[in-house]
Amino acid sequence: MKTKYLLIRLLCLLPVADLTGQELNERIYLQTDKTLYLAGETVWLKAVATDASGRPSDLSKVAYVEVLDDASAQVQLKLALEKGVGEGVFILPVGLPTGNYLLTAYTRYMQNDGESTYFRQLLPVVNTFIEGVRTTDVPTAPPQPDGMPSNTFALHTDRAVYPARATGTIRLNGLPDDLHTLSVSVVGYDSLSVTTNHIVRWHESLDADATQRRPDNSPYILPEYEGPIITGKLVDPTADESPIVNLKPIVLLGAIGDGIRLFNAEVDNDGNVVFYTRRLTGMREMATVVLSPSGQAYRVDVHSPFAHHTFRPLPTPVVLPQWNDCLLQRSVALQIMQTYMGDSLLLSGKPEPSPFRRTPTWCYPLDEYTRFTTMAEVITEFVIGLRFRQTNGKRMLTTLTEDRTGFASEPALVLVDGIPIADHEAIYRYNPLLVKEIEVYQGRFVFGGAVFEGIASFKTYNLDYPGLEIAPTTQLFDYEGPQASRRFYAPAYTDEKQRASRLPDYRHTLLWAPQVTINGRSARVDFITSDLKGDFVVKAEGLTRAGVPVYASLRIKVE
Amino acid sequence: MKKIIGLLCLLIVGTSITALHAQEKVTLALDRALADEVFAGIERQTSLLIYSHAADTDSLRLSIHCTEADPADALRESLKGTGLNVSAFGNALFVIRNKTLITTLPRNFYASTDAVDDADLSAYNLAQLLPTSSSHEIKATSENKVYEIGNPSESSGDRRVTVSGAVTHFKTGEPLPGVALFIREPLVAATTDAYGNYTIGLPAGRHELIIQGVGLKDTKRQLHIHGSGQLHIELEEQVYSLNEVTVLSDRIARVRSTNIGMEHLAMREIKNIPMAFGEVDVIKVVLSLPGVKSAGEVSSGFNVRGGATDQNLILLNEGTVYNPTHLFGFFSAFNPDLLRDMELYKSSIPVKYGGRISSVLDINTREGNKKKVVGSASLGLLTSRLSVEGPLLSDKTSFLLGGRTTYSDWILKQTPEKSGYRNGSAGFYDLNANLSHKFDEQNNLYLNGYFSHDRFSFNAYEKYAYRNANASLKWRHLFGDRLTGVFIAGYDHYDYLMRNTDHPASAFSLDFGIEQLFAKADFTWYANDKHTVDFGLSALQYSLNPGRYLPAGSESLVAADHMQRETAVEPAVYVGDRWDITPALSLNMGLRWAALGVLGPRTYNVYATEALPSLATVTETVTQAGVLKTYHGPEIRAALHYAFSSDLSAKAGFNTMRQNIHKLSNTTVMSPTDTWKLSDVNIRPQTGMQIAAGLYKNFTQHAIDASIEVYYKTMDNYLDYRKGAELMMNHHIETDVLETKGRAYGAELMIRKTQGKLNGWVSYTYSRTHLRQDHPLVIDPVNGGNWYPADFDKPHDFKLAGNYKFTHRFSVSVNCDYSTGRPITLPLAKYQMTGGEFVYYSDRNQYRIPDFFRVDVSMNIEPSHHLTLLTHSSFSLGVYNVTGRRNAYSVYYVAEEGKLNGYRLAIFGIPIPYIAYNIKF
Repeated sequence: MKTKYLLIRLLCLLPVADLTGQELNERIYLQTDKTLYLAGETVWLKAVATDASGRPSDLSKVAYVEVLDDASAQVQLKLALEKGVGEGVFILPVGLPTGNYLLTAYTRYMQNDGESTYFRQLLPVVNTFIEGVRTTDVPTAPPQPDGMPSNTFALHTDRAVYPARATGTIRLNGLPDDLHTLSVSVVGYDSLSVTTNHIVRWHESLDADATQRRPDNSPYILPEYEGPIITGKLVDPTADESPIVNLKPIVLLGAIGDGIRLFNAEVDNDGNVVFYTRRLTGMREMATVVLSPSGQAYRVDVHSPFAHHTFRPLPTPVVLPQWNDCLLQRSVALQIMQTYMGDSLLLSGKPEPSPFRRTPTWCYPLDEYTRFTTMAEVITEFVIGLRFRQTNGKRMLTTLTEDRTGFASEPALVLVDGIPIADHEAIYRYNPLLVKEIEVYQGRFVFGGAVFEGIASFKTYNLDYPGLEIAPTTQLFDYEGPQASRRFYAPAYTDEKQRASRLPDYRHTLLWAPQVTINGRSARVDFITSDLKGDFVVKAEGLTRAGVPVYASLRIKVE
Repeated sequence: MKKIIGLLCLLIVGTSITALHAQEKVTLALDRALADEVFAGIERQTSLLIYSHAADTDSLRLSIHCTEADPADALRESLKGTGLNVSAFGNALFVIRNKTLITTLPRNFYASTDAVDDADLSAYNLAQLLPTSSSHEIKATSENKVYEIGNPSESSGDRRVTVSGAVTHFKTGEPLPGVALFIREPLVAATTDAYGNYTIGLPAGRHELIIQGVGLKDTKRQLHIHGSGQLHIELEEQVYSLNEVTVLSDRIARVRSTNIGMEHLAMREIKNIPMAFGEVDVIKVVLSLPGVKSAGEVSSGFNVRGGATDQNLILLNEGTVYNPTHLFGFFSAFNPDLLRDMELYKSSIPVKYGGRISSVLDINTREGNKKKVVGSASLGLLTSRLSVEGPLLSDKTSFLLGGRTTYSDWILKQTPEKSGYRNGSAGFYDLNANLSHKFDEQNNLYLNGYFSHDRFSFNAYEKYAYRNANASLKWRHLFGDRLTGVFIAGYDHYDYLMRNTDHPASAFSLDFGIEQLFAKADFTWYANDKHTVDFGLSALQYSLNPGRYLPAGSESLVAADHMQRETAVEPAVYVGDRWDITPALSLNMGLRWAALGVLGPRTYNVYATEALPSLATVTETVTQAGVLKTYHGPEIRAALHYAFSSDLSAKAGFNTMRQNIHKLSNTTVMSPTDTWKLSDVNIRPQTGMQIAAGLYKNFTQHAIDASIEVYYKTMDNYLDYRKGAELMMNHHIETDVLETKGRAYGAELMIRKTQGKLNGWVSYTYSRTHLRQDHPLVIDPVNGGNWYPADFDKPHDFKLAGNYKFTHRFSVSVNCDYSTGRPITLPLAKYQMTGGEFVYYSDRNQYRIPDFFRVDVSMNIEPSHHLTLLTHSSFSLGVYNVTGRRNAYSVYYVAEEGKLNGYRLAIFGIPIPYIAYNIKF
């Protein structure tokens, strides 16, 4: 009895419906730490996916965030959603001209409902390094804060006034029982700040009927239920780059890196290729490999996953001369943070583990073994589970069968740093001195239509496959997946020596806790003040499972 | 109007900030103070805070001297030359490496849109200040990767965009000018300029950019162009394959070197040869080479090209080893774990060596590990070895210590009853200690020590023991880059002790010893590319204890007998030149002048010149001190080498040699009871001459080498024994020996494969060795004064040593040895005369024992390749003498029922399976 392993669960290809049988519509709310940014500043994000009525939903796994000007996207990123909640961060490009930008967020599934259902918010950006602030001749009044709703739960801090470089505690009490998610932030309050309650406004603006009927001929866009869906087109590079029709080769997608991340594609008759991926976070190099039956070289051109937008002119922002001191203060602060703490600012959290969770049957860190100069010697000398087998003058790598009586007659799946190797002669000729580790997995693996007897995974020292002969059917590309989780950085000031440190701490955002752990009906969050003095706003907002927004804020001082 | 307002604003801001610390002045005088103290000094006198990165200023020492100065200026002055800049903002000063903060808004911050053009944007050099996430530099290195250029969200359409960048060399990073870049559809081309930069206008979309340049590998890059942007390209140079020829210097060495009859074996090759009982043994390996023979199966003495066993100079790290065996020749005396390589010179003996007329076997040990202390212990079925090596105090000094011992008593218990070994006990150990120190690139010092001890007894009453000891100090010095000098001084020792207490009344002990002190200076001068000159001088002092016979125990009635000590000095000078006349023809000429001074004080007999020395012909007995006698003479070493091609060459050589020490042995094999005799007033040095020629050819890219060598050699003054010679405790040995002449000739054919899965060699040798007693004073010379075969004359000799590696860990080896049986003298008849019974013997060495033939096979499993395992075990399984042929070790005759019946004694007359298991820690 041979075990069958399926790396990819095939998705049911039907429109998603809720329990009542009604078609689900998705909406998204995006929270930022500030309302106005300087070019070069860090923007902290939190995304919450809901249904059309604002109730949290757990359908899509990826949220798309873009900063658009009136013609193109200036920033594009993906956030990983877990139970409908995601978090992220980006730095506004330092060359971004002063102006109003449109911050938009959506899921792939929302593209079915049309642009109007996307989350959208005006994002004013001031560039303090570039001349020529686009402003009107007659300064207009700054935007007035809209009516602040009163707190829906109790928010306290242990003090009203804090010294610099001190720890403060925020206590939240009387939270609703069915709170789905709650964020707490402490952000500098200055003349540029606009106090608004975005979540309440967003909730009010939700309009279940906004859903545009998609044209009947346009294809139904699948939700990213498991992870990013990568689409592309199979083309024949020799024949005028025309798409391939009525040929369904096996196409594999491998992420280059440490763990095994290999996905197979669905290929339709028009040569459209769809990869259903999982746990593919961060910037990665990817490889598509076409195992064409004819031996013909085909290539996969990957499409951008971001939506097409209808661009329209955005209002010109107002910059008032009385903001000068404040702008300069924040401009210098962002430079100081980049200069002194640039290394710590965007610390990545724990990398997401590979979806392939099996432990290898054999693992060979080659430095612990005699280093042979040919791959044939390495394999025959001490890699028990592998053999090069020669059939019809072509070598292929096979694995030892699980009953250990012989070697499989079908080839193994060979990966070099995650790149699937179709022609095993390439690994036969590969210099083993470049390889750090060989992992062998026994068993039968099925990827779409291809069956592999075992996996042989070769890893080089820097996971950059030096000198590997890459077949023409292999296409490499850079792919930025959903953002790997980032840790909000605040220096620790637990003792006098740390407090006396000469390292400047000019954090304007003192705390960004997008997902606070709730203990019953209360929660507690600590924050650390920086060297900046003045007013700060403590803000907490959340959404209950019933889709009710909750909100509280408080002003504190640092002296 | 707006500009003025903007400027005004800026002025207000500017003055307000400078005003803050304009009022504050510092007065400070510190010399080489810690940066933190300087900062604290400023902070104390002002309200300023000073910020810095600990990595920049932690260990920085600053000097500051200012009076009533602006704090920022004073700090800037103090930090001059450190690369640290000072920026002032608010009530703080920021110390930053290679950067300053922009502490003002741009001058035209409120300028109208029209007044700004793009050129102004770069004036602030934003890249210097902040990482720009959007414009990170792409370097296109891969053919299979898609490089995105421009903002992907910009609608592409059909517009043309500009792509520019630099083309650089992948390895060196240098710019590549004149490289053509083009796309085929539509055809758009560009060429890099002198700095490797290019600009190309392409339509948006997917493209294959083809790149070609002189001497560069034709390549392409896949682009997905959305908008204008930069793409830097790295290219590889075209490498033309040489059909994967790896020429290893040692593989062509045989064809290229001028040395004739020289074999070099590294430890790696030695380990491939199957060995009895799985023990790696260098002497056994030497025996498997063509032209090297042994008299018997269990003997480690060997004969090279018809030379006697005492005519081989065996050197371990330059020290002479007189008995290279342990345990009757079961093992060689050299610990295989510590050896690096060995060289056997059968014909062309380098001019720096002298003292033996047949061959030189030069064995070298490794140097210790200079990086870390490592040890290895190995447990085998017969022997255990332990070695420790590592750096000493610094990485310039290293040591290597090794020891080996045996517990082989049990194997004696397994021997046949008749062999006489069964009730015996035996043991040995050897120790090596090496120290090497590298003073600098020019000076290296080596200290080597070796000690081996053997004991064995056939029964409780008869005991033997022998010892080898060597110590030497070697200094290698480079005099400039053309002259190398090696200076060695050392001490060699060999002795043995025999004790027999069978009968208390006749119990005795007998000992013998050799001591040598030597000093050598060897120089190699690389005169120019045609001449390499070797020259040097050496001195050797011999001091022999020829024998002491003492009573053992109080009941012994044996009279003590002491032989006189023999001493002599052996100075030598030499010069040799390797002259590369043309690249194909080279000549090696050398001359060594060696002398022997026999030293007193000593009492010796003078014999009548007209008769053979015998007690009857003693004319007087002289007691004399000082130099009793000197012998000297030239030794010529010449060799010629001509290379017809890189894999075919011919060589010829001519050598003469002298030897001043002779072995006295009553067996044809080397035995622990052998004694050595120095040349003295009555015994002249042996001399030898050899002419050799050879043809050498390498096949299949030097993987196989084949050679044929022919030689003719003569020996003079070789010592043979008279009838009834007494060799032990003989105070006048000259009366029992005879000077004999020898001649040897032969041809050696060898094919050797050193590479690949199958390696080893096969050789055939035809050789003859004859002796002749034609001394005019001998009345009844052996065989009537005609040539007769020497004891070790074995005309046909076939050897095969093969190893097939299935993998690096698993191999099988075959060792095959055939030779003609050695000659013996047979008792032909028994006759009675005057009441006594006599045996009539044939002429000397006119008959032969049966041919010798033996095949050994073994299967070897080398230690795991997994290096981090705690133990490494190797395993060897084999059969010694697979065919079970009862090869005669000796033939003896027993008179039975009035007839003489011949019997052969075979030591290993049956197939002997063995398992050797070695575990290393």
